[in-house]
Amino acid sequence: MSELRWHPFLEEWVITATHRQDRTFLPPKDYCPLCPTKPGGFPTEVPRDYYDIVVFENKFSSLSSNPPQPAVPETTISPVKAARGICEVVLYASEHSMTLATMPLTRIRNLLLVWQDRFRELGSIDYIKYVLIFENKGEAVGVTLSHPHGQIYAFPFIPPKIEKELSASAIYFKQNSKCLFCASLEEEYRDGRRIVFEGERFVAFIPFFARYPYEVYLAPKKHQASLNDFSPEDLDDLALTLKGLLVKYDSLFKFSFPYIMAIHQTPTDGKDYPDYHFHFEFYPPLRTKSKVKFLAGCESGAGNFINDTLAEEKAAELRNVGPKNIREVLALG
Amino acid sequence: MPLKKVEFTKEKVTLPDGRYLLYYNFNSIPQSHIPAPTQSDQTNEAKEKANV
Repeated sequence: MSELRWHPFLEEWVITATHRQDRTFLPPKDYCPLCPTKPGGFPTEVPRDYYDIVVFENKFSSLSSNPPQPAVPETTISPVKAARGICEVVLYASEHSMTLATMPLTRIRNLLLVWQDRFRELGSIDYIKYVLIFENKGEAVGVTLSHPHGQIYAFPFIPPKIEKELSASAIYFKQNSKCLFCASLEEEYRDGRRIVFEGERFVAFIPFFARYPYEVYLAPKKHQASLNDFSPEDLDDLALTLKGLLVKYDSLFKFSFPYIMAIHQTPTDGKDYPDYHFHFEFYPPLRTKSKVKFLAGCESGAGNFINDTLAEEKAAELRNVGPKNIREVLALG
Repeated sequence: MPLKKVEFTKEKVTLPDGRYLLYYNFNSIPQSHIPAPTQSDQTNEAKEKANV
């Protein structure tokens, strides 16, 4: 069963997708459904025995281009709709044990092209209003398959967090004739202590208002709104900056660092959003090498984050490990 | 960035259960894989620079 149920208090849609309870959970490495199908081996999601990068419709999709009718009627306060949309899985590599951080730069650059292509293609569908590209990495954030992969949700509406950012950006722009994110970048450069890694065109930093200890924003230095805006040279530098940050994450505690990564960009609803600024958001669940930052009473109950750390100190920790500049990232290959 | 040129092709197939799958195939030539210039290339380049 799958449908959209309206949350009248938060004024946002909740997706119910009961079939996802049956999805594959941490299979042994030899039975990974995202590896290529080996000759004579068990059939995986990918019929061929090798691939560069693969995208497919999620088997356990929360949203579907041809969704079933809702299994429940709407109530007097909660409309119900079919869960229309598209959910895709993006396989970064044939090799099971790779991660985005350990991939060669060329492959990361190729992945950026795939993301750009998916954003354009899914965003051109008339009922798709927002394309969310994201990755969940590590068991600490609930990953059920360890093969290197990310996901794309093409929504029939603008998700609430994005709506909030769009609204704040529009209000700030109206009052200041300036992009809110650009103003935030100016503040970060003025202070300097929270900048973690810098390419020529992109920069990674822990925002002044970080909610998670190792939360990082990665954004273009100049005002750009979506993957559509990036030139080949932009993508080159984005690959370098992204790898630089991810290698730093892995260097921090000397193990593969878990995180949730989400790309925030303009909606695809046909409207213009000149005041919105493209960026990645990383929400790592760890607050120390062995302790997890839980979303407990205050966060879950009130929506207010309590950060037990100082962004300035955590940024210094990240700055002091791994590659220091793009030349050192290039040397990693 | 060590890339000289990147092109990709996209091949769409339908899985047995009706879902689509896209193979993105890349033709990328890392600069590190581009042969280093030979002596004659360097000589030609020097000649061009010297406008000989």
